[in-house]
Amino acid sequence: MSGQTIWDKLARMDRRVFYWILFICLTVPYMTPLGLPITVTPSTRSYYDGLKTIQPGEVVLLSINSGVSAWGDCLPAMVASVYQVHEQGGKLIVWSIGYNDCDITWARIKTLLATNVFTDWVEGEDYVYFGYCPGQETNVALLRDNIRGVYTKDVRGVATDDIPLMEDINDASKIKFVMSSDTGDAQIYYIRQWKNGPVNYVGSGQPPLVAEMGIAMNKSGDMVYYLSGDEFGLVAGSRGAAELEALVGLKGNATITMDSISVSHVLLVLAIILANVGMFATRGQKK
Amino acid sequence: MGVWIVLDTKFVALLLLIASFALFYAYMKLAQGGMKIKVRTFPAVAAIPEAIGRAAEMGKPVYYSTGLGQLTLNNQLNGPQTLAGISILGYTTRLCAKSGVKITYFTPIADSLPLVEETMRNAYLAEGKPEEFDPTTAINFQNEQSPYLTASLGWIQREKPASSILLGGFYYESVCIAEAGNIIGAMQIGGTANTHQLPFLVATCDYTLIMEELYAASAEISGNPDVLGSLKGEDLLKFLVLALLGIGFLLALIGNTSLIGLLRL
Amino acid sequence: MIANVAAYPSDPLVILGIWVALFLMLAIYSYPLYKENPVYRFAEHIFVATALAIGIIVNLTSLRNSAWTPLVGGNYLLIIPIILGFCMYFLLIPKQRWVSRYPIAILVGSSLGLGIASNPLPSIITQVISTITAPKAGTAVWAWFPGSPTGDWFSFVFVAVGLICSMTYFLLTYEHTGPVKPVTIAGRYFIMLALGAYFGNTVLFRFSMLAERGQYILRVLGLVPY
Repeated sequence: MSGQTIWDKLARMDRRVFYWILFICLTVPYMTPLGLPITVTPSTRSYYDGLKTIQPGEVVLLSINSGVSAWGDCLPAMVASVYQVHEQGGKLIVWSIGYNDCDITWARIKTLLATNVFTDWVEGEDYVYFGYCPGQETNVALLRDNIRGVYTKDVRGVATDDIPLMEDINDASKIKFVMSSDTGDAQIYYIRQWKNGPVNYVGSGQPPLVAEMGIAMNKSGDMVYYLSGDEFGLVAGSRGAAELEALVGLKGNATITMDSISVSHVLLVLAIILANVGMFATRGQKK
Repeated sequence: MGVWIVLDTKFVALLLLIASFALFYAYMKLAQGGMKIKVRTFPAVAAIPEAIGRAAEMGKPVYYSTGLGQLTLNNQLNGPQTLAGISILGYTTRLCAKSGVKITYFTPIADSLPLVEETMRNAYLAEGKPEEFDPTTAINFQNEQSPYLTASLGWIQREKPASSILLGGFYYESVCIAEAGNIIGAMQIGGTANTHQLPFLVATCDYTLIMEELYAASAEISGNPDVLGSLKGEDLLKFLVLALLGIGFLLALIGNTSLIGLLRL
Repeated sequence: MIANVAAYPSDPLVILGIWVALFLMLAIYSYPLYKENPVYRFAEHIFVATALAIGIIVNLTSLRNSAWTPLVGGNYLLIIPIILGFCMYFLLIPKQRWVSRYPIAILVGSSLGLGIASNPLPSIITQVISTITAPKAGTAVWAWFPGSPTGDWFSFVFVAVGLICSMTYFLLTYEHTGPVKPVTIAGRYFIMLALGAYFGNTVLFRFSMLAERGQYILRVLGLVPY
């Protein structure tokens, strides 16, 4: 049409063109990294400070409540956390109450840390992987009091009673803290049932603490629990994971991804500005 | 002998829980006894007949979903949302049955299926058309989030529903389904109490129920005195918390921490 | 140094797997990047069926490990949840469907009870305490400024006022009229601000997911380290 302005053309642009531009902008920085700087936020710093308090032999829990589809946001923080637990000489229990594809996630973590963690960690002694169990919050409540009531064996088929790491552990009182990787609300189950549950933790004197390292989407919702002290740390998505990688000294996928995310955000901000300018420009014409 | 009562913050929480139950019970009884409880009006509820009318005019079906709901009714955050969504589903199905519009309900929540089927069947029955209800086509069940989403997207593109209603405990599927509805030009009504998904529903839907408005809308539609009574009780509980916040805030400004001490015991 | 990257797989079956995953991923992406098409439909049906199969296997394994094995090992109390679980299958028999309501009622009731009992502390009491705790607790507002950073007291007032206004907006059995009206209007603005923050964080999450998938393509093609 002859009367069409540039704004009209932009407004009518097929959204798929934008998808393609976005997709290309996201992938190019992987091949030519820009190396943009990363600053550490207080919530990630608190998380890292929590990890640094692990004493040799202390047991922490990694709860994988995010699926394979959220690897981009969740996997790097899990990798960095497991690495730091190993650096501190801690021991690790891993299970999932959220996604039944957690085996693939755990396998990927083991692959990525094959040379710097799993060469000297012995399964059953330094770490144990129990896999997925359905039941959500009810399951978390049961795990607080009786781990063997939920997991009678680990994924290798070894009875929980025969796992050296689990010798003295059958409830939450022996677990220092929970690192919950979430796309949903599982961290709140741990806050409700473990930290604030109806149990007096006679054994350790303190209930297990909870830390969140889920998707960025959870950040706003989790901030209330972080600010009120129910979560001792909060690693939000790939951005938080990149900060954690910088703190633990293990540059990984989140650091690589940050360039890509930054470029895409610039593109998005430009699109928003253009769309708004266009809207006001065409509104003026109509008047 | 063990200690039965420990005076700490948990005890204050217990008192609050008992107070809330007492309030809910009292107002449920009052509502059953005929007390009029008026719920705020919501444009999204008023738009449902319009959405069904649009489908009837266009001869196209209606898409309805209550979201992921963490795959179960027994989820404390999502269960009530799913139930509210199912309650409005009953009303919507009845409108559809009346106008001869096909409605398809998508869900990944297995334990909600008996309730959904009964709700929809009753809606058709109430309109005198029980033979028109076929659960195999009216209810589309997938057992996981992504398959449920993928199936929804495919169905929306193939069937091109005139209206899409998304009311319940949504997660990332909200934006994908609402965007698919947008692409085909469906009229959309959304609502969830999951804060992280609200921005997307607000941005993509024609009408939105924000947070607890979903429960209120469900109560309004059902007219059930128990639900309306509990809603009133909840409002009074909110007044109590508002009072605590207001007084606590003013005390904090003058450097007084006695309320914090009282809550912590 | 980029420490956590793995070597490109050498096992032919794994290589086949990652290429199949790539094909299916692109098939699903053909929906937004092109339109609904037979390739998307093919991937959609494979996905739905595979997820169902995995779900069945995982749930059966869980049933075996957490119920059946302890039962035959002597924990006979577990027969009760197993029977309740089986009652769910009456859902498939129209005339006996009512039986399935009992396990569902028990499941929903017990789980909601469990969640509600532990909810008031973290969701109400702790939040109220956190909101009314000033940056320098026990110090009056006129004494804050010499010691407290300006941002701290601003956050304190902003959160407290925002919470009160937003909660007032959610009084559902009262119309927003009279003196409550300006408070609810302010509440609505606070809610919109919060939704903006949520929106930003969620967009970041979506981009991370998309970037990770873009990286996956490059990894499979061998253009970046696996």
